[in-house]
This record gives sequence, structure tokens and C-alpha cells, in this order.
Amino acid sequence: MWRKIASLFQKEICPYCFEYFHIKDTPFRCTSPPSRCAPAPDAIYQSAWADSRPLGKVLNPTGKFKDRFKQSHRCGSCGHQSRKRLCPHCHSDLPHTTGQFKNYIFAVIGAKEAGKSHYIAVLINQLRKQIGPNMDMLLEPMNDETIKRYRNDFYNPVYNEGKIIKATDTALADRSVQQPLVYSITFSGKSLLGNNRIKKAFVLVFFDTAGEDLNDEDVMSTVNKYIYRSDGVVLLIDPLQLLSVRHQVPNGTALPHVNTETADILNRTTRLIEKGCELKPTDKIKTPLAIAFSKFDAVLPLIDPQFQLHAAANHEKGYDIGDFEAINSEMMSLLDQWNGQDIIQLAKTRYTKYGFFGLSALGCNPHKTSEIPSVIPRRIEDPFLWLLAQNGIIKKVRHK
Amino acid sequence: MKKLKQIICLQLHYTSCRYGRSGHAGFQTRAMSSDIKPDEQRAVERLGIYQPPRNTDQDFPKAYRHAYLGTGKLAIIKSAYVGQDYTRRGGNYFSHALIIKDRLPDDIWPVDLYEWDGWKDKLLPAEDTEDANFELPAVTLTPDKKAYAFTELHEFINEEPDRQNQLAYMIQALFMRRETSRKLVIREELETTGLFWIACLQKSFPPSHQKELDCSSYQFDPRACLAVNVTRGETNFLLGENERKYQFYVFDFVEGNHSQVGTINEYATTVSTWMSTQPDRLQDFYDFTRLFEYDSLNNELVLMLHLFQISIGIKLTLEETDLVDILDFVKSYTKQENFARILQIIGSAVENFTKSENPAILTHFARFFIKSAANDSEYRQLSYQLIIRLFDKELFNDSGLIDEINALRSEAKAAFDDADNRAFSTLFLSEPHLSKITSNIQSLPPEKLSLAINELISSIRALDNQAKVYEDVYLRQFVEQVVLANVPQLNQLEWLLTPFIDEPLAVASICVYISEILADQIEVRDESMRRFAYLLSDRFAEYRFSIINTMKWSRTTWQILEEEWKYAIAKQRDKVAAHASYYQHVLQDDSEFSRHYLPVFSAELWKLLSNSKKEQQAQAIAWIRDKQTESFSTELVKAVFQTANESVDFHDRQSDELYRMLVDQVQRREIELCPNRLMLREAIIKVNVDKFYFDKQQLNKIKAALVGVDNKTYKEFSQIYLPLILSCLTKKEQHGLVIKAVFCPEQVDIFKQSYGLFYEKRSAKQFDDADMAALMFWLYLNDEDKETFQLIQASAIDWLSSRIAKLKDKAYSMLLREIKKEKEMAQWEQISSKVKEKKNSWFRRLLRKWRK
Repeated sequence: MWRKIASLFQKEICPYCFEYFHIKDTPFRCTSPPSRCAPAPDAIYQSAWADSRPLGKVLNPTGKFKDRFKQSHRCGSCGHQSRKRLCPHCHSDLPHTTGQFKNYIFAVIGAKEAGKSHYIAVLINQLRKQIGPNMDMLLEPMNDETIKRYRNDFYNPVYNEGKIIKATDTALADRSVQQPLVYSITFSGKSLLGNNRIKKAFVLVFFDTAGEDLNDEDVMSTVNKYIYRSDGVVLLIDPLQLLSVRHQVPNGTALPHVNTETADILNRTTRLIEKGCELKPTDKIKTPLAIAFSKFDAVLPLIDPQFQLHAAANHEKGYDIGDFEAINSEMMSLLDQWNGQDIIQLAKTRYTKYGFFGLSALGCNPHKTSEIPSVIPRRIEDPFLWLLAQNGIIKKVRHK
Repeated sequence: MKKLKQIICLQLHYTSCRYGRSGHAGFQTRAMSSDIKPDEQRAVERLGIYQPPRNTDQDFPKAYRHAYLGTGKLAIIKSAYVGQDYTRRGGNYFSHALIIKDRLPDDIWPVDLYEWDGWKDKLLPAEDTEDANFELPAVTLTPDKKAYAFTELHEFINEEPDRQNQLAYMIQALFMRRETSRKLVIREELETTGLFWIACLQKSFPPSHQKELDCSSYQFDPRACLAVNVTRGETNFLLGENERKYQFYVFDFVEGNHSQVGTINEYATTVSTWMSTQPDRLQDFYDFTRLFEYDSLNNELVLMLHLFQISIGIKLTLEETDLVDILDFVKSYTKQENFARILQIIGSAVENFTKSENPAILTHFARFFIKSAANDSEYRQLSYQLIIRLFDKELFNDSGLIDEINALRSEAKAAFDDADNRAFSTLFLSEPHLSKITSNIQSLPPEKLSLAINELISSIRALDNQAKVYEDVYLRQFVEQVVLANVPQLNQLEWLLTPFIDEPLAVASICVYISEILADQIEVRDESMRRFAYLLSDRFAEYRFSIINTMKWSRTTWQILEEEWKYAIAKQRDKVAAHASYYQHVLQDDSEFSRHYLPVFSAELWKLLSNSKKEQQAQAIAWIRDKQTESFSTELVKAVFQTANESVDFHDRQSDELYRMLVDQVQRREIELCPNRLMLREAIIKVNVDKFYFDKQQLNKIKAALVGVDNKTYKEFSQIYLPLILSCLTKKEQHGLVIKAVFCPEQVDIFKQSYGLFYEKRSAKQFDDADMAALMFWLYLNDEDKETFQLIQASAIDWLSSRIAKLKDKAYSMLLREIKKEKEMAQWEQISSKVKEKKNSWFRRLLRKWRK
């Protein structure tokens, strides 16, 4: 209820174009069957997404105060009452919960081949199938685009075909890359009276970014605007890109092509956030930053067996803060060993909240064969749950 | 054999590779020509995107795409699936883009460049090195016109029975794309078939129209569709009802499920038919399209097609709007250097299309030639001919075109620098045109005839500024035709004369001419002339006399003028003044007309004035004063003088002039007046009281003048004359002679009154010689006189008695003394007794008592 009232006055953010808007300014799109209300070209949508297909008619707001309370709009042509709300700036369909639930945007960034797509593919599956049920948390796709894209581009290659996900093209060339995966996350539990009820709900927006788009600050500011508008950033680092690790890994380990320096990406990301959020040089960035070493299964032989990193995480009743502290300090020490002091220093200096994680999405190294025999994720949920905890979406607990 | 033009292109390679122009690994422009601009690079990178169909591992279709970039350059891209990139991840593709540096030659379609043999499909691992050259040279393409030549397309279309139909629908869909935003999606099993469809569609439009026809021979993502897209396999296209009916024009040759496109336009039908049956003609059509600077893909293409059909002699039946649109199209889009040829085509078609004399078509053709062919005399002539046809249309059909015609003429004047409009006028006055007008003139209402005459006059003036239009042979011919055609309604010829309303000479000249024409129309002449006369009188009052004075010199006009005079006089209340004015302006001269019509009109006027004696008198005096009566008939003269004579007053000095005027003419012309008031007035005048000579009195003439006198005249005369002359007489004989001269037994009562006046005016103080002469006359009345005056004797005695009774005592005493000297007392006794009786009347007695 509070959220509804607040939404009348505060600005929302579009998960597609990342522009802020007032709920009263949002147009609706007629959702009548096309046979009843003929679709029409939408110039704003076409301009934003280079998609000229005729779409349902845009029902513009009247600009009156009462629009703030409108949950639907009647189409002047067909009389249909539409609830499909659009972003005033790009005319993308907003999640139907806009104005009711807060949108949380999580950016997954990292250098080329850092495993971003695989991370998202497995994380979402894990959240739905395993972590979610354990935490009374339900993750649901918000629209058909998300369902289709996740299924075609992420789930099918990994889980059904056992193949690695194809390289993500740069958003500069392929605008479809800019389309986010939008999920709702719903927490349920028992009320004081013992009844089952939904306690809270949020909208989660995931962005998969092509590594190429993080190579240039100008490109980032064009196609990765979402980064400085996000509520949490997962920076994936492929440990096999670190020179000292490449020297230490056992012979025969398939090594990826040496890519952009991770520190460079973090630098660019930091500058992007600073500029986007108009921070002073003395201000720290409040966006939580989770620096996660992906493909951790490949470097496990290099890690002290006593490390917590070898153990599975247990976030059943909330995010285990004790586990985080252990992992964080272990990862920092590892990074220190692997000549990654600059990354640590950057995180410490510029970010209020940061954490270091180690994870493996696939549990295997497919570099040689490009095939995934089986998906055995390790600690893939850690950075994400940490971000949820930092945003207050899940509670922090300390398991004994 | 015609040498094919060479086309210089810039190149760009895009793929996922270790080393490229970005300095980082991954998807990037691997190499490109240095002249490619950043915007162009970005655009072709997007155009080159390739996602393989989901349901295939081997047969990856090539994607040929072309589009015009923001810089106006044509980009042709071939994208091919590569598979794994250097990271062993799938999804990699190689995109080779060509950016045409200059404009594509006029006879080349983008599809002609698809089969270039220099396409690069992949980057070999050996090439992906750090020290590779990341700059590509510009290449020279030689278009392959054979692969998708019209003959090939002709074969392709005819391979399947329905392809021609489907091509027509596809063409129509492209026409509708602008309006509906629905792009064309073709689903085909085979890559080659898809390419042929693209070639057919491209070559269904002129090369100049390819800007809006960007094509993709393989498309995965429906969001990034171009105008024409071919898709195969499992892609992001659903091709369900929504996409088929509302988002795209789908031609699904796999499922056989096509979008409903609607009615196919003529362009789609014709071009698809030519593609199927006459590919050469299609080529000719495209050659023809080069005459125009037109590259929009819309329904105006139909106009260009129609023009082509006209140019090759195909007889088209086109609606008015189509023709109008064709002309607008030609004006707007014909290249300057080709205008003459297009004009020739239009010019040759004018006759065919204007057969119906549709005003809108005539107008548009005229305006077209005015605006487009100002420098060419042939088309100037044609423009004027069309305007004249419009004019005739307006003349005979009342099409409400006059404003349009005037506008066209103004435009023509300005455009042709024909300030004096000579060319138009020459055409207008041409014999065939005037014949056309005159042959139909009978059916024209006055306002149309007015239109015609005005134009005729303008044209004559245009040809000779100094010309006397009213004497112009064209005008004369026209007038003749008009008059002959309108003989029964000549009073409606106002329109004919109105243009000359300020030129009396012209009006007169035309009237003379009209009268000459009417003179030969024996059967209807009188009535026609009468009507025409009415028109003249009514319409040209201001210049009436000028016109008449000009007309009167022609004897043929006399009848009209006579009718005009009659009509004008009849209308006037003051006919005398009206005629006087007419006389003053028209009849005063010595013209034959004046001589002839002065007596005629005078007699006529005299008749008209018969109801008003006063007016007759006024007119008579006027005539006499102006000495107009010379030419009058004797009868009229007599009547006039008689009437004037009646106006002579016996005692008013103002009549002196009239009197003198009459006396002079009456004597000279020996006119007998009855009664002769002149004589009577003379008699009165001659009674000079102060110096009276009885012998000078012409009593005999008075007697004669009073023969047949009317009562009024007699009374008037006698009442003046008798008291006046009798008071001058001193002898009883004189008294007798006077009353004999004046006495008319027929008017005895009047005489009595007049004679009584003599006594009444006498003084009571004395009984003078005149009284004594009267008394003596009546005392010594002889027998003859007794008989003559028996009717008045008693009255006379009575008046005498009264006179004497009224005398003062002194005078009375004197009278009595005088009377005693006389012998005849018997008569006196009679008088005396009456006197006494009167003196002793109760009134006199009372008066006397009162005095005492």
C-alpha cells in the first residue's frame, strides 16, 4: 500500500531505456485483439528500438492528476480497457507491477568470455528450481520476451543441448541484446495467524552484456546506461585471464584467449557510475558491487582445501553473512596472491558496499570441447543473494 | 555489346575475432576501407547481423542485404554463418559489406551486385593475427546483370502457375507498406528461390525506386526487418495470425499461408504481367522512367506507367483525376533535359484525352502547357487552343469556368510574355472558331453572348490597338450572325451594345449595321426594329441623341429611329419637353431625316397631345416660335395655329409676343382662324381711351371675327371690348354700330352681361356723352334695330334705368334737363318710370331716411 502511494509521486525507472518517469505520464497500449483494434505504427517505439512493426494503439495520458491513480486506460477506438502500461520515453511494455513493486536492476558485467551469459542462464534456473523454493521465493518471468529469450538464448543451449552459449554480439550491432530479462520475485511465508501469504514482491531486471561493449567508455555510456541506474552490479572475472593463475593452473587446462584487463572494465564501470550518478570525486558509490570469480572450478586445485570456498553455501533462512565474510576474505587473499591488488583497492576506495565471490556456473571447463556434459553450479547464487541482501530484499542471517 | 559500368565500393568485414580494429577481441569490425565514416560503419554492422535458424546445423542460408545509409550511400552486405569463433563459441558470422561510393548507375539494381565474386565468407584462423592489415582497399565491382536478368526472372515467374499472381500481391504490399508499416516477409524453403523473389520485387520497380526497397535475403529477427525479407527455418518469426494479418505482409510459400493484401493496383498488375509475359517491355519501361527525377515508391508510379503506355501508343481510358495527376507528375518530376520528349508524348495524347471536352481535363492540359512549355510556340498555340475550347465549353454549356479561364489567360500572358495577347486573339478570331460560335449562337442566352462579344472585342483590340472595333469585319460578321439568330428577341441585344456603352459612335455604327441586316428581314423587320428601338431607348439614354444623330444619316435606320422616338415619347409624361429636346438635338438640322421626320413626329405628337389642350397649346406655341410649322401639313398647321390662337390673351401684355408671332405668320400664310382672337385682340388694342378715333375701329372685321365664336372667347372679348369702346363713344350711331358689330344673337346672354358691365362701370356722379349716346341710341331705336336688338332691348332699358337711378341728384337733374330737349319722350317715359320705381324702392327710402 505504501509502495502504491509512494509511486504516485516518486519517479520510476524504465527497465528498457533506463529513463525515469512519473507514473502519471505513462501511456497505455491497447491490448484488444488486432482484429478488433487494428495495430498502428508506433513512431516512438520505432525510434527507440528500430522496430517498425505495427503495434497496439498507444493511449496517451490526459495529464490530469487523476491519471496518477489510473491502473488502466480505455481505448478510444475499440473501448477496450487496457492495463498494458508503456514507458513514456521508449514505449516499451512496462512490467504490470510498475508502480506497485519496486524494480531492481542487476547488471552482470565482465570481460569477453567471463561467463556472463552462462552465469545468467544458470543463476535464473537455480533461483527458480533450487534456491527459490528453499527461501520461499518465487521467480517468474514477466513477459513473453523474457520467456522466449531465456529459453532460446540461455536455457536451451546449456541445459537441453549441452552446448556453450554463443558469443553475445555487441549491443551496438544487435539491439536485441539490450532487451533485459525481467522477472518478478515473490516472497511468501506464514502470517502471524499461521496462514500462507505473499509477504513481498519485487521486479528483477537482468542484463547480459557483451564483453565487447565494456571495452570502450563511450560505448558503455551509450548501450550500458543501465549500469549506473542499477541496484547492484555483478562483475564477473575469469580467473583464467589472470596471468599468475594461467601460470599456476595444471597443464592441459584449456585457457581462454587473453581479453581486456578486468581492472580496466571495473575502472570504466566506476567512472560510468560516477558520471551517471553525478558523484563528486570524494563520494563513494553506493551501488553494491559483487566481484565474482567465475569458472572457479578451473582454479579449485590452486586453492587451499581449508577454504570455505570449497564448501557449499547455505542461505536457507536468509543470506548467510558469516559465510560471506569468510568467502570475501578468502577471495581477497586469493586476489592478492594473483596480483589483483588494484581491483581490491579500487573496490575499497570507490565503493561503499563490495564483496568478493568465487563461483562456477557450469562446474566444468568447456573451453576445449565447447560442450557441457552436465551443469553442476557452485556458489552461483552467492553474489546475487548478497546483492538482494544489500538491497534489503532478503534478510541477512548468520548461521552458526 | 554494351559495356557494363564499373562501380567503386568501400569494404567492411565484421566478425568475432581475436584481432580487429577495436583493439579487443570479440565481435567487431575486423577491417574496413579507411573512407568509411563512423556512422556508415555502425549502420552496416547492424545490417550485417546474422543469427542462424535454430533448427539447422548445416544449411545456413547466406544473408544478402542492401539498404541506403543515412549518408545516402547504398550498402550491400553479405552475411554468412561461420559457426565457432576463436573462443570456440558458436554464433559467429562473417559480414562483408560494400558501400557504393557513388550513385548506382541508372540501369543497375542492387540485386545485380549480389552475385559479385569477391564476397568473403569467413575469416581464416591464419588471418586472425595481430599483425594483419585491418584496412581494406576499395574494390571495383562489375555488376552481374545476367544472374537476375529479366529473362531469368521471367522464367522464374513462369515456373509456378501462381507466381505471377503472388508477385502482383507482393508489389501491392510494397505500395501499402508506407501506409500500414507492414513489411514484406517471404518464407521459402530454398535460398535461391528467396533471392529470386527479391530480384523480382526489386526489378518490379525502377532502379531509382530502390531506396525504399531495402531487402534481406535471410532474416531472423522480426524487429530488425527491412522492407523485403526472406526467412527460412526456425527463427524469431512466428508467422502466426497476428504477424500475418497485422504486422507483416507474409507470403509463406512453405505453409501456403499468405496475408490478404487487398485490391491490386494497376501498376502491380501490369508489371507482374510484363514480368511474366513481356520482360522486354518492362526493361523499356525502366528506360523510360529515367526521364524523370522521381524515386518515391507510391501510387504515382502508376502515373509513370500510364505515361509510358501512352508513349508506346497504348490507348488508355483514364479518369479525369488520373490525367490531372499525370500532368502534375510530369511537371514535378520530369528531368529538365527530357522535358521536350515528355511534352511530345503529352502533346500527342491531348487530342485523345480531350475528346470528351471535360473542362477539368482541358484546364489541366492548358495549365500544364502554360507552365511547362512557355518557350515552345507549338505548345503555346496548343495551350491557347485548349483555353479557347474551355471558353467554348463555358459559352455553350455554362460550366462555371469563367474564373478558371481568366486565371489561365493571366497565367498564359505571364508565361508566354504575350502581354498584348495577340496569339490568343488570332486563334480566337480564326474562321473555324468564329464559325463554331456563330453556328451555335441561336441557343445562347444573353449572358453567354455577352461573354462572347467581350472576348471578340478584346481579341480585335489585341490585334490592333487602334482599330475601330465596331467597324471590324469580325465583329460585323459576328453581329450579323447574332442578329439573324436573335431576330425575334432583338430587345435582348443589350449585351451586344453594352461593351460600347461609352462609345456612342460605336453603338450607332453597330445599330446602323443591325438595321441594315434587319432591312432584309422583311417578314420580321417591323417587329424586330421596334424591339431594337426599345432597347436603344431604354439602355442608351445617356448617349441617345449622339447615337441617333449618327444613325439618322443612314436611311435604313429610320424605321428604328421612328420606333425609338415613338417609344421614347410614349414613355415621357412631359411629351412636349421630350419632343422639344429631341427636336433640339436631332431634328433641328437640315438632314434628310429631320426634314422627313419633323412633320411626321410633329403630327404624331399632336395626336398624342390631343387629350391635353394645355399641352397642345404649349406645343403649338413652341412650334410657331421655332418656326417648325413650315414643313407641317396644312391641316396640322391650321390646327397648330388655331390652338396657338386660343392661347392669345386679350388683355395680358405677355401675349404680345405670341400675338405678334401669330399675326405675322397667320397673315403670311393666310391661315384662317376661327374665332380669330388675333383680330379681337387687335380690336381691343386699338381702343385708345385717351385718343379715340371711332373711324379707326374695324367694326366690320370684328363682326367677321366673331362668326362662329365660342362662348368663352366671346365672353372674354365682349366683357373687355364693350365697356371699353362704349365708354369712348359720343354719338348714338356710334353706339349702335358698336353693339351691332359685337352682338351675336347666339350668345345673347353673354352679350347682355358684357353690355351690362358698361353701365355698371359708369360713374354715378355724371351722365356723360357715352351714357347719353347709349340713352339716345335706345330712345331713338329704329325699326331695323328694334328687330335686331329685340332680344336685348329690354335688358338695355333696364340697365339704363338702373344707371340713371344710381345717378346723384345733381347729375340726375342735369339729365332730366337734357332729356326735356328731346322729342321722343314715349320711350323716355318708360325709362323714367322705371327710374322712379328704382329710386323709390324700400331700400332707397330707408337709405334716404338714414341719411337724414
